[in-house]
Amino acid sequence: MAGRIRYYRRRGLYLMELKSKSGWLWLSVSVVLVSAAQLLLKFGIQQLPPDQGLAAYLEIIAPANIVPIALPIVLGLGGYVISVLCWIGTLARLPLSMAYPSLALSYLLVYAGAMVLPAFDEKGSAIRLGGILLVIAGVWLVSLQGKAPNDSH
Amino acid sequence: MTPYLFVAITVSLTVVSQVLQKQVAMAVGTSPENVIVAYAKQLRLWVALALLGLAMIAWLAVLAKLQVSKAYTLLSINYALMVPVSKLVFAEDIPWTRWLGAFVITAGVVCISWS
Repeated sequence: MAGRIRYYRRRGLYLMELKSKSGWLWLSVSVVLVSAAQLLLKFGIQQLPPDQGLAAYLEIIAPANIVPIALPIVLGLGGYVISVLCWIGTLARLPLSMAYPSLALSYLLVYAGAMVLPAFDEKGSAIRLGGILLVIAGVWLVSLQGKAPNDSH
Repeated sequence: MTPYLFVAITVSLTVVSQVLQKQVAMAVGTSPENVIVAYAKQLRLWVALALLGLAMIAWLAVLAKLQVSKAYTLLSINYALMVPVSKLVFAEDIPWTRWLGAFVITAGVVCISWS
């Protein structure tokens, strides 16, 4: 009897651990996809001629622009939608207090991507990087579980 | 028009959408008989999704003007705004660490907007 209980307890812990491990996988995919989506959107839209007002957006679907502009934007939108689905999958497996701050890491990924990838001509700065680190710290604070009675909602 | 106006439009539309999403989730509850039907019947869910679509259009206008390493991080003001909004709309009890977090995020966004 005691042996059976021990067996089921071990098995339960093993399943819980397995669930949270796959949770981190869902989370990683979500973070990478949401970051890639932003870079793709920017990559597409930055090829539009600047300062032409809202009418310029119609040029996104001009035949010559389908591959260089519309395609990365559509891929970006698709990546964003899939990342939201992965995020829902993450929430089913990990506590929000772990998942939420990790999502904020996408700010660092987008920053790094915009600095490193040759497609983007962006210059970093200490104040921008410092601001991003403050944001990540703040998101971590926001996600801390308080003692408030209805905090689980 | 300034790209910051479009940042404000994007964030406002997203905040309203998130309030509607929360209202839908509370109306449907945790164990409806048929999840998909229960959600699809909620008019506010469709409004929330339409607002997200509009937010995406405003967002492309932002990306056309601002560097993505700046613009994307400015969006995080959304996290900070949701703290007082949850207090006002849903009367949530908010621990002090969450108010502090909202303040730290705001400070970070101010730094980024200066950069």
